[in-house]
Amino acid sequence: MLGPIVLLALWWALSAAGALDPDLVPGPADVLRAGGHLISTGQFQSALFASIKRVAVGMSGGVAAGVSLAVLAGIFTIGRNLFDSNMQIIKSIPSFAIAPLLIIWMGIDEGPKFLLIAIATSVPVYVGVYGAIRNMDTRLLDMARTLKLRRSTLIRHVIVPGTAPEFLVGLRLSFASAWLALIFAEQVNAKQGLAKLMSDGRNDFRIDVMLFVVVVYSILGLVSYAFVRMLERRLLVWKQ
Amino acid sequence: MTIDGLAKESATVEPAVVLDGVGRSFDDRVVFDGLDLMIDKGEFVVILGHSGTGKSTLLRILAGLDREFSGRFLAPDQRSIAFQEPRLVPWRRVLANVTLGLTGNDVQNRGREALAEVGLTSHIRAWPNTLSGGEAQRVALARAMVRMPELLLLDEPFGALDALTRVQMQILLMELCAKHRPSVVLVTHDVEEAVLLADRLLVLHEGRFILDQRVALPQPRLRTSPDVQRIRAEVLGALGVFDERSELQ
Repeated sequence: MLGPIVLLALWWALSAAGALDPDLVPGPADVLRAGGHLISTGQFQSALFASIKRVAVGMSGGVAAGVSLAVLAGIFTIGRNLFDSNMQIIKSIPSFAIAPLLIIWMGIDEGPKFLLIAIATSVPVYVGVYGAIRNMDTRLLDMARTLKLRRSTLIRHVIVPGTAPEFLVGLRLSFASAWLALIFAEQVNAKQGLAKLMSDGRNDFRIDVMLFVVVVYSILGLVSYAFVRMLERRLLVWKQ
Repeated sequence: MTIDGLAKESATVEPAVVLDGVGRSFDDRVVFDGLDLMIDKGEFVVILGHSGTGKSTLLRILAGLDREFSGRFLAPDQRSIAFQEPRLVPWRRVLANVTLGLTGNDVQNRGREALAEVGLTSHIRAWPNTLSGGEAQRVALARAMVRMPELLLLDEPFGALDALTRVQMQILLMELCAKHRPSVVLVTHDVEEAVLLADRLLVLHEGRFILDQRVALPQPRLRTSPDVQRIRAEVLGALGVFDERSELQ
């Protein structure tokens, strides 16, 4: 946490010293004041809630789909034939490029927003988990064969938990993609959301509001990171 | 711990393992072809041979891991194998590793008993990564024994352990075998280990057994005993290695 604090202190110091033009780069105090105002009107809370809900729903679906497809593709030949090339293709398309298509197909409600975030977040976990399964220690799998494990036992106790390290790396990337996809998803006709606050700020030339939203995005990034770290401590206890 | 090596000499028991013309080749290279072998129930067979003679391949066939062989073999369904590396599932605790795949309502207790037999009661909840090499190999043995194998297959199980631990593990293995009496096929490079443990010694060389010798010495055997030394020299001779120290005797 030292890095962000130093950055904040630097911003503060430069503003206080008058090195930054307050019209273009307001100081932390101004930004906080703008934020305080948004909070007192309740605008901030509803925007934050709307955005977090989009990420939570979209990402849960995306991560669940990514892991399921990776397990199917990693274990079954038919799954590999069906899904792997498709996922590799999706990986190579910037998901934001298809945002306009999703809007044409699905309208401007929450649906395309969830879906865009889901697509963007499914790819990193898919790549991580699929790779982990394909590279699983064959000696361990041989051992499992001699124990005559049922397939379900093999998948549940040997294969899937072993993908945890790569899953978590993927999840970290998925979070980054999620917040990015959120911004794209909220560009079009979002009545609520952080990006809406941002564009309102731009229209009113309220740079303090815009900077406040940037600060919120960075806090959300830090919180996601902390969440993945917490998962790591729980899922990787066996690794110390 | 005593195993009466002599008692089994006379008895004609039904075989636990029968190899009938078993062969295996990789591409053009024939590892062995037409191997015949009969192993009695409860017999402790040690297979020696130079690297690349197919000892491990034979063991993999017996374990059911290699199905690309020719010929036929009979072996009990209840087979367990332990490898040179313990091959524990790193993300399951010790007890869960031992009981992995077992069903029944008594599984936990069976697992605990198996771990007690290898002296690891205090490590039941440990993660495999925290174990020493010897401890991990004990867990692997417990995992093999908890399945009550009629045939225990061991592929250089002590090859990666330090000398002291290896001796302890050999003693432990003899105790377990004396108690549960599985048939055993152990593959090793260590001639002394072979002579200390075996009821019967086989040397695999260029695709056939060039030595098939019963070792009728009572257990426990001392590495310093003249009989052990004599057989060791004979086996080394069969392997084409001559040890002048034993020439002196």
